[in-house]
Amino acid sequence: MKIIKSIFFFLLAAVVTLALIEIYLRKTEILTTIVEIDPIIGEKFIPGKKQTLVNEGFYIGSINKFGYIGPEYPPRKTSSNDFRITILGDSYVAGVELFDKSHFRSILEQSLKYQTKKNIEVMNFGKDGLALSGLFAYRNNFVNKFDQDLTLIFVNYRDFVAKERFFIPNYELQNKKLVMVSEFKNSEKYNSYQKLSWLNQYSLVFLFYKCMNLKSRAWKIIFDKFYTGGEDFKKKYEVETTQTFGFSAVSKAIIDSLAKDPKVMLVLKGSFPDSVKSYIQSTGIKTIDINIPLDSMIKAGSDPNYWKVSKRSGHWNHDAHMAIGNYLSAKTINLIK
Amino acid sequence: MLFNSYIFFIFLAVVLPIYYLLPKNLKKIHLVLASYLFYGYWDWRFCLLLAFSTVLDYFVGLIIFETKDEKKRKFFFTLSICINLAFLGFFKYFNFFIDSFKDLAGGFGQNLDFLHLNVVLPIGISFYTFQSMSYAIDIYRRKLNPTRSFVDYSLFVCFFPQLVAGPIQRATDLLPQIIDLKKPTRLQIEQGIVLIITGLFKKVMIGDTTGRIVDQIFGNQTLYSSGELLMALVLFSIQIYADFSGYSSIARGTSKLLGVELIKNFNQPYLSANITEFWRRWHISLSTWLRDYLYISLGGNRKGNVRTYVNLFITMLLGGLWHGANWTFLVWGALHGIYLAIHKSMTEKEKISDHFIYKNIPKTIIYGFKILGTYLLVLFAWLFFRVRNFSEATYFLTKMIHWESGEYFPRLAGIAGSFMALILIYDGLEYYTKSHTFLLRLRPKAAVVGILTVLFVVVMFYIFQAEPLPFIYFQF
Repeated sequence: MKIIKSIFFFLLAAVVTLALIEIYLRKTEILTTIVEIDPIIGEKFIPGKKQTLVNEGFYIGSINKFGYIGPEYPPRKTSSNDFRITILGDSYVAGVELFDKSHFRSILEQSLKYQTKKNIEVMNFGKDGLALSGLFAYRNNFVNKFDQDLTLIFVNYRDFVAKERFFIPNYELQNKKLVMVSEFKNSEKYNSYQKLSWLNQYSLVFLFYKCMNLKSRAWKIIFDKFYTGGEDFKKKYEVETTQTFGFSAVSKAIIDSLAKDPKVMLVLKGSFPDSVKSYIQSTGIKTIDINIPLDSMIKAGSDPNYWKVSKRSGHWNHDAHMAIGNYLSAKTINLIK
Repeated sequence: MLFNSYIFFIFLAVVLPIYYLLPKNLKKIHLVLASYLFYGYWDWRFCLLLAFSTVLDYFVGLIIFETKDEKKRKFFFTLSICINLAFLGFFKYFNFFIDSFKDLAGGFGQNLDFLHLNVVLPIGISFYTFQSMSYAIDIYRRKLNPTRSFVDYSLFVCFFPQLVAGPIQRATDLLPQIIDLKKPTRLQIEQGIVLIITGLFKKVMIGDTTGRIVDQIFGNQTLYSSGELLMALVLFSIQIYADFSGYSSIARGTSKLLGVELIKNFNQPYLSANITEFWRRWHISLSTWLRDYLYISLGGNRKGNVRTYVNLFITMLLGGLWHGANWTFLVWGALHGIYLAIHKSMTEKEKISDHFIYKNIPKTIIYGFKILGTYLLVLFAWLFFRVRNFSEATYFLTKMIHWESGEYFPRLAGIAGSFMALILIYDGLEYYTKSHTFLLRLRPKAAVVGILTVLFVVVMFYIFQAEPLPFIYFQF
């Protein structure tokens, strides 16, 4: 009886402590989950969620009630004077390393507003981990609901050849037509996710997932200088995250499809093999090469990916966002006038 | 070796069982070796300096004690103090003075850039140097008989729980415990575990999380609004308290597991109703050291009011310089010196409160305002502690004058408020129960085990996915 009583009080105290820590983590925004799994578009942001992140930079922001990052513009434009640009891409576009006022979204919007005297709305649909199929699916199933006049899709070569993450839809060619396949929907993992979806919103569960994602580095983290396994975990991690399937027919078909939409422009970042570049050009899709402002920065001795405060390399820093915002403004202003 | 790392707990899991099993004499050697391993984990070269300091003060202590000739005693005492200060001065202040001299020379058009040495600051040098110096001073003042055992003295200097960031122990407190090392009692083990886990929670979940935001904002102030900067300063006040008091708790807890009691270093400082009380509650081991070995040596309050205020000011000024080789630390110390002198002058003549009629105001509200006022004074001084130079401080203050709250001010205020609420609730419980281990009073004990298990597991998970930050006071 005494043992049962002890176990009861142990568990009761543990649950109460967990609950209090959960409240603490949420109130202080130390760890917050902002993503859920949608059966159609896979990973998507949860509307209304706040997020504070300290990575190579520092970000405070939230997912607006319409489900994307930054200022809240409704799906339908409110005035005829509006010109709406949606920007779509991976974590570089999401830009959760700096405040929205320093993000190229904001710089582009301010610059175009100032120059055109029009009501310009630039909406950030960046989401980490999206490759080409994911971007295409996200555009077709979500971004296109927002009545845009122009969509800037940021891509690098890796997006054309990389495998999508598990909970992101892929495309297949069936009878030469692109068909979206959400394989994850029929998986055991998705079923268990759905069953436990109520649990996944907890900060403590998010903490657990974050640790699980790092399990290949566990011995290094635990044994620190005494760890003798070299950098094997790094290689293993790289293999896991860079599995590619080449510049496939599916990727080509996606580019072809995008090229048919006059409102779409591809924004090229990083280097592309000549064959891929010439294929893109052959489709007639409009492109902007943001390597030009970024290379200018490098020539001037400023690394666009280096963060002075955290002394780390990572996503674009403040100066890079400024350069990209101004460059995009110069490249798109004629489309508005 | 950082307390907030897995490797420290592995180290502890190896050191403690061996310590419990070994006979008394071997226990001490085991702890000395473990302490050198702990310290050398950063850089083995640091151990050489520690060993030199130990040998020097051990022999000087014996010579001072045994020499009858007063002049000779004074000579060896002065020699010990000078060598200790020379080491501290070289490793900690050499480049500071050289750089200041270069700046001055630059003003006269002289370029002295060649005058710079890449001196690596050994971690914790200020702490163990002060501890060694207090040993020599106490022997010279005939308050302490030196130990003849070199192992005992070595352990007094290098005792790993408090080696790198205190609490700065007096030989009169720590040496007798080391000479007669005892197995920890059950209560000490229970208290030790509570202190380690709660200290770890404070450091990792409050100190490090606030610190990451603070570093970002202070690292590039120009990107942020006045409101956001102000919140960064509030967060820094939380960070430094959680970081240092968390460290001190882990140090005390670890020491208790070895059967050794260390003094309390913090006692709910942000609940102080005046600045004098604050210094009785903040970094107690340093403030009492400065009082006993500097303030009293300068004459204390025995030479009239004006001299008392001057002594307070000098003590705090040097206390500021002890923290770091930067003019901003001097300003921080000077501000506290001025605060203390003003408070002393007020309490000696008439209380400022005598000018106000409080009849209709409940005492708790008055007390609340006093706490808030003290916190604001401390907060202002923290600005100079945190910034890297005066231009950053000037920029911050200019932004406060030309106020713009900024888009994220309310969010940051909410975050800072949540951190502060947790700190105040925890301190309030400590204050109310007059205990740092109040959790042990809960019944049944299974509930205490449940709470501690959850706290420990969550902290360990957090450390796993976020690189641990070093303790702020390690740099001093």
